[in-house]
Amino acid sequence: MRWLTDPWDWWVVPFVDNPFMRDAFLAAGLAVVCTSLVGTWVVLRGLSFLGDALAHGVLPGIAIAYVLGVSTTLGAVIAAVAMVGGVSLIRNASPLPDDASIGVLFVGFLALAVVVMSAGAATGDLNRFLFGSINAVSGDDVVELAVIAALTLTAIVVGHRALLIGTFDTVQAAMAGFRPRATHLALLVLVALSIVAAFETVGSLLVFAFLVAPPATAALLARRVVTIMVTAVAVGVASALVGLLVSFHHRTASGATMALTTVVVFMLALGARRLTVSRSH
Amino acid sequence: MRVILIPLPPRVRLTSSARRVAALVAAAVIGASCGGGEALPTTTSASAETVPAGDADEATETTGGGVTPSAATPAAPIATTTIWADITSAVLCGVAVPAIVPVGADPHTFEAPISARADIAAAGFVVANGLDLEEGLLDLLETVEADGTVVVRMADHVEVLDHGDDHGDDHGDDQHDHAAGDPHIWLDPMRVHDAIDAIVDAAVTAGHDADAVAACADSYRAELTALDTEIAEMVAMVPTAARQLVTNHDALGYFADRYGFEVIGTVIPSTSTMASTNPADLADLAALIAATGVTTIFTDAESSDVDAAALAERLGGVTVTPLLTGSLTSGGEDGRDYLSMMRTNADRIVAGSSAGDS
Repeated sequence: MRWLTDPWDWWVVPFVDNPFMRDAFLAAGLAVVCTSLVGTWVVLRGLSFLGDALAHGVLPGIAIAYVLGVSTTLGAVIAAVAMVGGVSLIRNASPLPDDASIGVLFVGFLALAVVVMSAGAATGDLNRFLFGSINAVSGDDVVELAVIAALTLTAIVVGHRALLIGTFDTVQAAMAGFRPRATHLALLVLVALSIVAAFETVGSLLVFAFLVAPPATAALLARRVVTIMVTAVAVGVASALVGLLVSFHHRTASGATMALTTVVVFMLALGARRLTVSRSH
Repeated sequence: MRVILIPLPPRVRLTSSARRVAALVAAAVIGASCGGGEALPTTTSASAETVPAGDADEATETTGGGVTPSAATPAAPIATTTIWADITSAVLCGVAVPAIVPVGADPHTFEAPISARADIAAAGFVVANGLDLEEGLLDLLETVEADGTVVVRMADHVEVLDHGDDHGDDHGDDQHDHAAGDPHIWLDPMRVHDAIDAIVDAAVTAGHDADAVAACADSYRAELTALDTEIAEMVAMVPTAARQLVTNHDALGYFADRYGFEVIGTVIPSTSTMASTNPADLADLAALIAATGVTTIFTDAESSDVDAAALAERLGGVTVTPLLTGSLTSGGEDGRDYLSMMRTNADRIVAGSSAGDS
């Protein structure tokens, strides 16, 4: 209960005393800004499963890039784009519903990553990608994440009207001169970029929590899209903060603790909402 | 204050990432629910008790400081594993040395809390194993090293053995130096004997009393030599033809190298517990065990042995014996420090290797 009884010591002192805590919070905070902004559209458009598939779909790109000795970030981006392309290819070429084509590619990509890694015998690095390395974040990483967060914010603001209309009425969007399919693809690329930006902080296995949990929490609490986005960013940043502090004070694995916090916050919001809804009836 | 021993995920294969997530989440929940506990287990070689880091610091301050505050007392180092913490503590005359990977955890798979950065910052230097043993700490160690913290990698100071069957992992990598070779160097006491000079050097550079540390290192080296002699005598009871080991993951290469054993097969075909088994290798291993008459599969106390146990059951007449390969133990005498851990292992290996001949 020290977070209540001695709030200064629990909440502030770790950041005052430790530069790495400031870097880690900045990195996690910037990553969660990217994922919360993009994730709002993922949640509102019902693309969560595709988001999850993308979060894991970057792994084979990383694995192959690693074995070839090229940039793993580049590999991750290529794999994510391949996943997006593959999903629309399967959707257009088959009568299957979306979730089936996503599922097939999802598991295919994940399996490919494990096979490539087992042949390349590089478990140490797979560990790093699965679980991230927020503990090792440095100033350079923060600058890189700040740039990506700024780009994401710009894209979300510029594309806002197209995304808004396309989300709720594709026919009207097409008539109004927005191209719903191009908008959709652009959004998926944004999702991929935010995942690539964020997976180094919490890891590929858990980055999906950053993408979906804060916007889902916000969607419980707010109705307007912009309000949801702002709330999602606030919830995400707060979750990252609490998760980092819990990891710091209680020695739990840092990436997993942050991811778990986002989900706990969602559950709390859900509980609070049910309480208020049942009271108003 | 109490010591939290976070239950670590069992050895988890890449193919079962979901299980690993569940275990990690469980670890996070359990860790978070242990309110108020923030102790890092430390090892003092003299008593080899696990004590909270805070208490140890206070103890050091009172004994070292006396009436005046002791600004001259250099900070104790931190080690990655409990085994290297114990060895480092012995070399530094019993100073309390914390370990990043807690007692009973698998150093291959441990995911660090962010507080590990603070522990490292408070330490004088870091004693790590190297050769990618600490897979979850690779980035962390590289980052603190780039920030100027001295990281002593013990594997840099011994003759390294290659992993038994190499997968030809000659991939280039522009970002990290990839260690090739078996990381389990501490399972040969004489390699530890030869490598502890590196700890002495780092400690003296960090301001520890050179004469005192040299004396403690000498007496510990004498204990290591005695341990080596003792194990060699125990092993002499095993007929040369029976000195064949089957292990869970490829951890016993250095022990085998030192004491004339041969590791003829491993359930997990890797020096890492993170790798996974495959049916062809398991079938080969079963045939090999049947052909050689090996009666024991030696597993790792701190990671899962499901595949080894299944294999032993399928073969019949084969037992599974856990060895203390990656961590000291918290209770009992068997693995309370490095020396007793090695005696326990030697005991079990001799008993397991002789079982078929009697």
